[in-house]
Amino acid sequence: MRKVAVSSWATSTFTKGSKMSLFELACEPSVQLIRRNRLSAKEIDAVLFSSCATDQYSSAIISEMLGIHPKITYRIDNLCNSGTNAVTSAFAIIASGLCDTALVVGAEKVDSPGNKLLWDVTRGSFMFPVHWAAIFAKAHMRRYGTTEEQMAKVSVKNHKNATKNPHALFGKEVALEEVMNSKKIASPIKLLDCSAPCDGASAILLVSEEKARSIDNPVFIKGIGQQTTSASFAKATADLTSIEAAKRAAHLAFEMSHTKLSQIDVAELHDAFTILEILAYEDLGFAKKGEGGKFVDQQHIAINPRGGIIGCGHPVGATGVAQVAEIASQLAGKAGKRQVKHCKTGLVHNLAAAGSSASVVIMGV
Amino acid sequence: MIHFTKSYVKGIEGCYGLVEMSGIKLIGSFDTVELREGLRVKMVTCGVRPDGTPYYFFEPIRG
Repeated sequence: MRKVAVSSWATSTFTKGSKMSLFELACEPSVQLIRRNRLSAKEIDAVLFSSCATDQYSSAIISEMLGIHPKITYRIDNLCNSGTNAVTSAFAIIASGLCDTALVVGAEKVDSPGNKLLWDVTRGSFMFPVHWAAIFAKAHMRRYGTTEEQMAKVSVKNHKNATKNPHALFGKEVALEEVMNSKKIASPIKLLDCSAPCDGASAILLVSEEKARSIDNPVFIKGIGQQTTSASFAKATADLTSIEAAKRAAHLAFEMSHTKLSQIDVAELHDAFTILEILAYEDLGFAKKGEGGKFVDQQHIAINPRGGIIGCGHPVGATGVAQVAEIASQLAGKAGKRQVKHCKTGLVHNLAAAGSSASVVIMGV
Repeated sequence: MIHFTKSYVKGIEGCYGLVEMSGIKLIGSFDTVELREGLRVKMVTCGVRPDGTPYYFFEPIRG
C-alpha cells in the first residue's frame, strides 16, 4: 500500500445566508487550491464531493466547473461524517494505485436536508440531533457527575479558539455565564452548547508518496479507522455515556498508524454539541472514563484550535474536510495565528447521526 | 424508561425519554414530569402525524 499525503488545503469562510449555489460554494476553495499550486486539470485524477445535498451528478458538475476531467468522481454522503468518509475514499484510491492525485471537496448549504433525521422512526417526534445529544448529556451527568458548567467550558474554549480563525462563523468569545444563561433547547443543552448549521466549503488535495516528494514538509495520513454501528439512535450504542463507533474507529486508526495516544499533539474533535467533545476525550483515551468533564481544563494537547464545530459552524458535508485541512495546516506549520507549537502528530475525530458512525484519522510529518 | 429529559425546541416544552420495550428502544413523550430512570411505563398511544413524523406517548405504570 502506498503512502498518501495531504499536499494542499483551502477552506471558505463559513457564513449564513450565502447567495452562492452549492456548486459555487464547492468551487471557491477548490479554485484557491488549484491556483495556489498551479495545478493543471490533467494533474487531478479524482474528484470526490462530500455533501448531504441531494443534487444529482454533483461531483461531475463540480469537476466540469473546475475544468477537471477526472478518472474517478462521485459524491459521498454520510451526514456529519461525510467529509472524513470522502478522505477515506481518496486515501484508498491513491494507496491502491488507482490514482495519484485526488481533490476532496466538501460543501453544504445551511438548508441541507441532513439537519432533520426523518428516516429514524425510533426517534418518534424528537427528530433533531439535540434531542439525542441531551440524552447523552443527562446520562453522563447522572453516572459521572459531569456538570453543565464543564460542558459550557467546551463552548467557551472553542469560541475563543475560533477568534483566531478568519474562516469561522463565530468570531467572538463567549463568557461562561453567557453559555450557562443561553436559551434552553433540550435540558441540559442550551443554545451555546450547540453548533450552528451554516454555508461553507473546504477542499484538500491528497497525493501519492511519489508526488509528495516535491513538497516541503509533507503531511502524511498514517492511519484511518471507521466504524458504523447502526443507522438509528436506538441501536447506536448500548452505553449512553460513550460512542461505541468512535472507540472502535480510534482503535483501528491507532493500530494502522502505529501511533501511541501520548504522541498526539493536536486534535480536531467532533463537538456538534459540547457533550460530544467530553465523550470524545474518553472514547479516544485522552481522559479516563467519567473524567471527560474535568479534562476540558487540560493544557497538554491542543484540542480544536480552529474553533471546532461550535466555533466554526457546521456546514455538514464540509466539516470533516475542514477538520483534516486544519490538522494538515497545523502539522505543516502553516496555521498562522493559531499555530500549535512543535506539533508532529495530529488526530481528527468525526461522528454522524448520534454517533452511529465515526471516523478517526491520524496524521503526521 | 432508560433516560428522560425535557425539550424546549420551537418553544414547545415537554418531557421525553428513551424507553426500552421488549428489546426495542424508542424515544417517546410523557405528559408527566414525575419520572425516574428504571420506571416501568406503558405506551398509551402511537401514530403518524400528517407530516409523516411518528409519535409515541407513554405513561408510568402506577402501583
